[in-house]
Amino acid sequence: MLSLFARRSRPARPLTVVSADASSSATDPAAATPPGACPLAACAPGARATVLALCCGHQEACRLRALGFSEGTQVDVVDARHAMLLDVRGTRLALGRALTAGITVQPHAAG
Amino acid sequence: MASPPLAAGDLGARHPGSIGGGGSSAAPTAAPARPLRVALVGNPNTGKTTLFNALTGLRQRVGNFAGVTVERHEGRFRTPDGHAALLLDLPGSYSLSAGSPDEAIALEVLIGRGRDVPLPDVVVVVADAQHLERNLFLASQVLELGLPVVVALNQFDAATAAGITIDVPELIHELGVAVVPTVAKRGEGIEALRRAIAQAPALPADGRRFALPEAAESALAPVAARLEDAGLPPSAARMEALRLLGVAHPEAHLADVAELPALLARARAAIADAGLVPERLEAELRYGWIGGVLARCVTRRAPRGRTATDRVDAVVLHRVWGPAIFVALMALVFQSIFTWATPLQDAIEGGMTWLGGRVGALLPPGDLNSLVVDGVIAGVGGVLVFLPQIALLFLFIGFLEDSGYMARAAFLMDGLMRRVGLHGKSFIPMLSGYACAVPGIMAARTVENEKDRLATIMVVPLMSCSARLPVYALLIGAFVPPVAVLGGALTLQGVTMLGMYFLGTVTALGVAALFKRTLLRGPARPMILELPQYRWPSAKSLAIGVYGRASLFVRRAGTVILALSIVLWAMATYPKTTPDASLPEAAQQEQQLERSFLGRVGHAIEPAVRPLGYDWKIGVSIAASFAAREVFVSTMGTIYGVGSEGEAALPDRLRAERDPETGRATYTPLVAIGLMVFYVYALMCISTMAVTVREAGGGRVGWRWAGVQFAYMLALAWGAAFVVYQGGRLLGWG
Ligand SMILES: Nc1nc2c(ncn2[C@@H]2O[C@H](COP(=O)(O)OP(=O)(O)O)[C@@H](O)[C@H]2O)c(=O)[nH]1
Repeated sequence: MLSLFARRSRPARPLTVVSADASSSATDPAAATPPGACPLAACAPGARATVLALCCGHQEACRLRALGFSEGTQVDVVDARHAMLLDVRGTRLALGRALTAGITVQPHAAG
Repeated sequence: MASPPLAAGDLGARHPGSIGGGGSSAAPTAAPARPLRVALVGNPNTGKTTLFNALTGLRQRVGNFAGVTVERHEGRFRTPDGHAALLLDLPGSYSLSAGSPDEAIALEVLIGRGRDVPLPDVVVVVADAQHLERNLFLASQVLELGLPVVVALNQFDAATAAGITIDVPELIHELGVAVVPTVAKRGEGIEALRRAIAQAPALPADGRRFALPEAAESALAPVAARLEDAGLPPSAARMEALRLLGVAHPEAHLADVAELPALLARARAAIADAGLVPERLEAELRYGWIGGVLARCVTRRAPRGRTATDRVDAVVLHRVWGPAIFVALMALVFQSIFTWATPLQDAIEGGMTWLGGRVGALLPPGDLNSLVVDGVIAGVGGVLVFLPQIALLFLFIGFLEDSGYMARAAFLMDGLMRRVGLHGKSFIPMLSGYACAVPGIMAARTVENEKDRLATIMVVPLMSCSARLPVYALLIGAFVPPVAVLGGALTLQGVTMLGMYFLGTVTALGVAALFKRTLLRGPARPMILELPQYRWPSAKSLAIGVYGRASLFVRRAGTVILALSIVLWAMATYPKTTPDASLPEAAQQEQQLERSFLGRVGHAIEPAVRPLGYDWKIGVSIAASFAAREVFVSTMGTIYGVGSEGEAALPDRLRAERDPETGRATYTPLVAIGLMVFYVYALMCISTMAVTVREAGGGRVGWRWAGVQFAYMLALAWGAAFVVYQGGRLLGWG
């Protein structure tokens, strides 16, 4: 199993996007936030939410997106104190409060 | 095997490494049989270092990238077909970007703008099989560069254990490059990886292209064309154009590309006109693609419940238990440095005494005998004795880092650090500073904000490093009794040691707060920190790390400290005078020492250190240790070696030392404590100053910051030692 490596038996699949994620960028961030949206910082531990908009410095936004923390991503709040502990795409991130206060999310109904 | 057999001459010929000629368009010149240049990239915590060690073993070397202090690890290995390969470990990063000096290095090398690094022939992307989703982001960027790529799917064992099944042939089909599952920790898959690396240059590497939305494609074309004109390989130019959409500030490595900001502004406007958000485009495209790849290649058994990491974190990050565990852990570390190292230290000390005795008996009495026994053996040996403690300290720090605890400590400390004006991440460089300020200051690179980074750099040397350990250990060993405290859990010696580390840490926080409120005023940048999964560190990786640091220490002992020991011995021995014959033997030696060059220098220094309670011998030792702190111990060894006959160990001699006039003990516990406090604060390390100059911005700016650092620390050291000594005397303790 561990000896598998490149076998060029068939051409590689082209790099195209089929997921619905890509269409989300058609939405204008300035558009009215949907009802129920709130800052991530307001979410309690155990909550699950979808990221709507990142309102923070460019550098931080750039970093967050590379880490997979982008608009449309689902996050789980693990803990919230001076910083928040979040599960995002299978990894655990700690984000300072200054950041989480500027991130708008749509909390999911508890369940 | 579908790939054509490889002729040795083919290797490395594709990418001659010139900046303009990279990419797949390079003409296959008849290359001499130079080693295959392989670069290793990957997210932090993927096991990249472990993989690097597995590939190269001990055939590696640590250096620096030109102009910056980013550590540059290079190693050699042979491919299965016998070809030599040169492996370059690029700093770990989550994506190709220039957000920090570390990340910029990886990016610059891969797009052919490395200052002294040619474009690699093969890029190995180390991806963590457990966190493929995030790891594929970097992989997708690298795939677009047009370089031959091999993906090492590391931690395959952990992924399997977590119920993650990856369809490797399907993933190869998706990525279009070799994918090799590996378990770096156990050396599995390494041979296959070597084979894949050897074959990669012969496979077509046309640079995968993301299909962009029509509007984005045309908007980005002028940017890419401009970058191509500036010398980037065509495929790298396209990748860069897309990436730069989300980057607000101009990047240093592209500063000479004319009109880039204007072109980018135009591209952003055109993309926004088409109803897309330019800043989000790259992340959405890549994660959109990644979503599809995962759906086709990865299956997960059962939804993830509470993992072992969750359960450990529930305790370790607990509001009450978390900090308590942190303090207990630190106490354990410093206590065990004292207790565990003792047998080994005794052995080394015994060996040195034996050696001194043998050599002393062999050589005829006289200056040569004195040079070898008192200068070299007492000086260097006195420092080498601390090797076990230093190795242990690095072992602990390595363990904390590799196990994943370090990031937790940063998270725990975030609340405290924010009050200081920094964020939790600055705590990691500070903790590494316990081992050595040089890697500590370099670790400050992970702090993204310039002012925060500077404030961190300024205080890292206040964290007691391993070079202070010999000084503390000597003085504590001599003057603090090993009585048990806290019901036997710790000894007073361990507590005193812990106290010194604590003092340095608290002061570091205070000084950082001061800097952030004065010279480096600015808002605290928010923290972004990944908490990796807990892992049992691999013994081999730890051993290689400790070995590297320990051999550096031994080399220092054999060079800097040896040279200084000889110089100091000479200064303590010459000029020869005829001592007053009426005095007893010991007093004659004392007189000779006082009349030596060293004695004269010492007496000149004495007025500056008198208020601290020190005599001229301590003054000289302090002055000598501005080259390196450990020299304090070797100087003491030399001074008391030259000035006496007996074979007593240094601590006993210190205890026995009397003031010639008053007859009182020179070293009271109060003097010893004050002296330790002096060493907690004083910056006495040429390497640290050099690294501060470079990391604080280099040139004039760097020198200025290094000057500020040196001056404030010296003032602090003198002031604090003064307060301890004079205050203690007022209270009647000394
Ligand atoms: N289970 C498992 N652990 C690994 C593997 N490779 C490395 N590790 C562990 O992962 C941790 C981080 O490794 P390191 O090489 O320091 O990661 P780096 O930050 O990417 O350089 C260490 O504790 C390693 O022992 C692997 O293949 N399987």
